[in-house]
Amino acid sequence: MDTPKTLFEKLFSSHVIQDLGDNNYLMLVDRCLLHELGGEPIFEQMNRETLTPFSRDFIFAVTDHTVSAQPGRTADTTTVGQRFLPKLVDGCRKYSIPLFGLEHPDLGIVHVIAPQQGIVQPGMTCVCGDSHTCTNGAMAALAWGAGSSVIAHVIATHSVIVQKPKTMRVNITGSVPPDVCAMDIVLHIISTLGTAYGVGYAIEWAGSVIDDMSMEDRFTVCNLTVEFGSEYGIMAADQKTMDYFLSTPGAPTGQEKAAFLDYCQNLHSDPGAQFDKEVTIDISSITPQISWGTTPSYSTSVHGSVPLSYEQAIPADQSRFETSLVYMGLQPGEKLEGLKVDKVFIGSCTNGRIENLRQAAKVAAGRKVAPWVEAWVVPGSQKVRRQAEEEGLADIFRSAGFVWGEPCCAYCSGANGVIFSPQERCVSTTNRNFMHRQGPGARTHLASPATAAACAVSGHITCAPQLS
Amino acid sequence: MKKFTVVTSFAPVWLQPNVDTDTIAPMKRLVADYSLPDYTFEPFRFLNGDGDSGQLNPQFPLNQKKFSGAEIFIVGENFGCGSSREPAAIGIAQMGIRCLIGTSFGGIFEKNCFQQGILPIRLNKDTLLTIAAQNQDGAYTVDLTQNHIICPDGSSWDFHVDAVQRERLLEGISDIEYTMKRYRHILSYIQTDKARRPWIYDTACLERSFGGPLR
Repeated sequence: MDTPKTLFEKLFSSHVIQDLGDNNYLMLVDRCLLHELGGEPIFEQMNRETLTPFSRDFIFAVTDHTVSAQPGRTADTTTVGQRFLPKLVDGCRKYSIPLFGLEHPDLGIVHVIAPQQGIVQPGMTCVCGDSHTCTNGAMAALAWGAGSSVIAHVIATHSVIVQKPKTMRVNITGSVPPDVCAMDIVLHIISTLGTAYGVGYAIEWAGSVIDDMSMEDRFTVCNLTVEFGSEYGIMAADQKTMDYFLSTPGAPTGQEKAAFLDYCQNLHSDPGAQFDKEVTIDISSITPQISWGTTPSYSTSVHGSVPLSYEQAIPADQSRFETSLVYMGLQPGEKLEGLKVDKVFIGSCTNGRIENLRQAAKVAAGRKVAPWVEAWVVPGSQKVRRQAEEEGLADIFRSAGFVWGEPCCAYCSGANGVIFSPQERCVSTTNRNFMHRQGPGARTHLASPATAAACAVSGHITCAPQLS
Repeated sequence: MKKFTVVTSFAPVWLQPNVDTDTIAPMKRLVADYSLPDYTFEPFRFLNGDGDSGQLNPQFPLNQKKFSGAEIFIVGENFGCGSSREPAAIGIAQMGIRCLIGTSFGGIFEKNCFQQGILPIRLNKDTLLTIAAQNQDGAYTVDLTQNHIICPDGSSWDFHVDAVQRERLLEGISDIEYTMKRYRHILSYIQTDKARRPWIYDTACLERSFGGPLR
C-alpha cells in the first residue's frame, strides 16, 4: 500500500518539474494573477529584461488595490489609481493579458474573483503578487503570494522555485457559539498561538468546524493563514468545494469534467498521513474577538481588556507591547468594550463575500449607524454586490446609514490613498492592524463583520449580542 | 544581481518581533513617488513615525552613528511578516544592508531578500542572542563561501542557506537566468501535463471565467 500522503504533499508533488536539490523544487504554476499595484514593477522588469510571457493562457490581471470604493467612481477618482491603472492597462495590452478592468461586469478583489469565476480550481497551483493569495487554498488549491520579481519569473517561465515547507494540520473542533464568525475563530487561534506559529509550515485547516463551514467562511480562514505566519493555507476538497466550483463559469465541461472530478477525489489528506506538527483547538467557549494592538495576535474577546503587562501577550515583548499601546491610545488593563469608534469598514478579501455581508446585515437590520461614525460596506466583487442587492442586504445597509461602496480593496491597506485620519479608531473586517496601515496614525481594530456592524450602530466597541 | 561572497561590517541589533513589511515600506510612500530608502522603516526611524519631519529617532538602531553604513542587521523573530511588497527588501538593500541575521523571517519577504541580493540568515535563538550581545565590540564577517559568521570575539558560527539561493547569490545570477537553463524541462513537463490534466489548459474554461474572448 502507498504511504498515506498529506493534501499538501499531493498538491506539491503533482506540480514538481524538477528537484533542484536541498529541498528546492522547480514547480509548475497553473495560474498567475496580477493586480495594478504589483503590475507596474513587473511590467517595468519585463520591459527592461525583454521578457515575454511563457504562454498567453494562464495569466489574468485585476484592478482592485488603487481604485476608489466611492459610489459612481471612475478610473480618475483616486490619484493613486490615475497613476497605476493606465500602466496596468498598457502592460496587459502589450502582453495580451486578460484584464478585469473597471468596466468588467465581474470585477472584484483578486482573491474574491479568482475562486468565484473559477479561475483558480481545486488541485491547481496559483501565484499572485499579494500575500493573501492563500485565500484560494479553501478550494484545495495551493496558492501563495510572492514579490513582483518572482511574479515576473512566473510569467516568463510558467514556473516558480520553491523551498518545500514543513506541514502542519490545525484541527478546529467543538461547536461554534452563536454570533461567532470565521474571523473570530482565526483571531482566537492567532492570539493563542502567535503570528509566528506557522512560519516555515504549510497549514492545512481541518476539523469538524471547517467541515461544517460555508465556502465563504472557509475563504476567510484560509485568507488569514498568512497572519498565522504561513504563506500556504489549504483545505480538503469536499462536496461543498465541488458544488461551489462546479457552479463557477470556469468549471470544465464534457469529457474533461469527468476526468477533473476523478482527479478531485484525491484532494484530501489520506487517513494516517503524518504532519510535521499537528494542533487541535476547541472553539466552543470563545466569544466575538477584537484586536487591541498592532499585530493580529494582539487580539482578545470583545468583553476583554488589554493585558496588564507584556508578559501576558503573544509575542511577550515589552517594546512591541508598549509601542502598540502608545500607537493605539490604550492603557494596560483597559477595557475594550465601550471605546468610542470613529470609522467602520466591512469588506476586503478577508470578509467581503456574500456570507460575510449577510452576517453584518443581520446585525444592521432595523438599526442606525451612530451619528458620529462613518461606516462603509464594500462588497468584494460586482457579483457579490449584485447578489447582496438582490437579497435586500444593500437596502438594509443604506437605510441603516452605511455607505454602500464599489467593489475594491478600499480601506484595507490604504493603497488607493483614501485613508483614515491620525488617532481615528476604526473597526475593520480586514486582516492587518499594523501601524499606519489604514492611514498614518489610524488605530485599527480587527473584528468580524457582525462585530463591525455592531460597533457601527453602537458607536462604541461592542458585539452583536450586547445590542438592545 | 549583485554577488554576495564575504561581507564585513558592524551590525546594529533590533530584536523587535514580527516587524511587518507595512512598517518597512509604508504604503503612503509606495503609492507616491518618494525615494524609497529615505523612508524605509519610517514608523520607527523618525520621531513620531513621521518621515516628513526629517527628525530621526535616536533610539532606532540604524540611526546610531556607530552603525552608519552597516551592511549587516541583526533582527527579531518573524522579521518581514505580512504584505508581499518587494519594496520592503528593495528599500533595505538600497540602505546598503547586504545581510539580515535573525531567527525566522516572513516567508515571502525572505524570498524577496534573495531576489534583491540580500542574504537572510536564520539561527536558533540562543545563538542569535550570543552573537547579538557582541555588537558593541567590533565588526562581524559573514562569509557565504564558507557558510559561517565570525563574531567580534573571534568565535565562528556555521549557518545553512538554501543551496539554490546560495548558488545564485555567489554567482550573482537572477532566478530567471537560473530557470531558463531548465527551459526544456518545463516544456516537456507541460507536454505530459496536458494529457494528464487537459482542463487546466482549456481556453474555453478561461474564456468562460473571463466572460468573453481573452484578447
